[in-house]
Amino acid sequence: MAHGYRLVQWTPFKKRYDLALLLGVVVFLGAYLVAGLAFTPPGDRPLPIQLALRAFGAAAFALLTLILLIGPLARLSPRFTPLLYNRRHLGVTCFGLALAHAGLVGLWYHGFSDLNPLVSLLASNPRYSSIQGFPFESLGLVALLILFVMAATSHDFWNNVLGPNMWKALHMLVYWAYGLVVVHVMLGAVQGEKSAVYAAVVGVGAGLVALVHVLVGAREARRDARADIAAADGWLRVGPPDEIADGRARIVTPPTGERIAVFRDGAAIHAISNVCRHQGGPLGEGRIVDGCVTCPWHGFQYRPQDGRSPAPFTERVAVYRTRIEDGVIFVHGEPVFGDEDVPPSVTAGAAT
Amino acid sequence: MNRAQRRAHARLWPVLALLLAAAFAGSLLVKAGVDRAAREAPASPIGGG
Repeated sequence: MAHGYRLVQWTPFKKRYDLALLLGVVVFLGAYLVAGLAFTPPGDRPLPIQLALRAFGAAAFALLTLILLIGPLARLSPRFTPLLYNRRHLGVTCFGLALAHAGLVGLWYHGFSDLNPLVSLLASNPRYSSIQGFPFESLGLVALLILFVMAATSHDFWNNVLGPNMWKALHMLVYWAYGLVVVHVMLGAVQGEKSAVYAAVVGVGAGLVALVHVLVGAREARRDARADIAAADGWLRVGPPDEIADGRARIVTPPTGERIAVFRDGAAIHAISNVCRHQGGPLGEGRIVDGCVTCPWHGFQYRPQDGRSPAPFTERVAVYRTRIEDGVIFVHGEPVFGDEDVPPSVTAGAAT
Repeated sequence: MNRAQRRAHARLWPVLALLLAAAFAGSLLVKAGVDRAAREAPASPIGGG
């Protein structure tokens, strides 16, 4: 976590991540240009600027598809979670590629008009009531504006200013941007292609994104609906302490409210909200580092006894009471409010 | 994600998936129609066909 404004808080992991991203983009663009020249008959071969603008557009679409796959894949398997840590770097890069694509389109197709290229782009084809010949460029422009807003607000500064809920709601616009991009490509580039490869790639990419989101959304909804049953007095059964690895948690779902992460720190049992204050990361999938619950997404930390981030940070999550009865942990479904620490339950046989 | 965000995702994506599928199928149909019309069009006398 950051205290004070820094453009990028570089770590060795972020440097490796961004280097891999840069190499991936360069390889993609190079491979697209080479394939475009090698597999197109000389008579149909596009001009270099046309090939370049398509390469940037294809790279932006591929990266946006990857960005949208990371979230649900990380819910399905923790192997994908490291890709999530700096996903915003992918988003900013995607906007840069889309902007390069739009810039070359404006330059090549509208730069020689008497009109402003932007006006020319929006006004030169007014067939908005027709599917065939629809001005697909306008769809790409709206998607580009959404990507701009997201790239511009991707820094934690805006997360703090807007609050995590508003920030997340704003960034969910990316799904609509993706839909616009798919239609933009299908009504644009695909219509002029003789090969079916373009349509197949777009269909597989968009189909995969939709499939994993629908599957993961349904799975999470089922889990919320099948809440861990609370007794009349509000206590939920968690399980025996030895079923929770040291420094790790078991996540329980109360009938109402947020999921609760029940951590075992040696012999001590703590319970805190499963929702990180930063971007809603699943705290229960993190671990205890230096005595603090550490979010698996971006490393935000909370003391398990009071839910507060260590000074100088000021974030706070809810904490819950726990008890151990007949070798089984129970957690109360209602959060504890107040400034006092919530003492942990201590497992039987622990040295006290 | 909190409970409200999970619910929003779970409701949004089935709708978005249907819209994507409809748009994808529709644009393929349009393309098929245009390609068929181009094949069936009489050859241009100027082109010497």
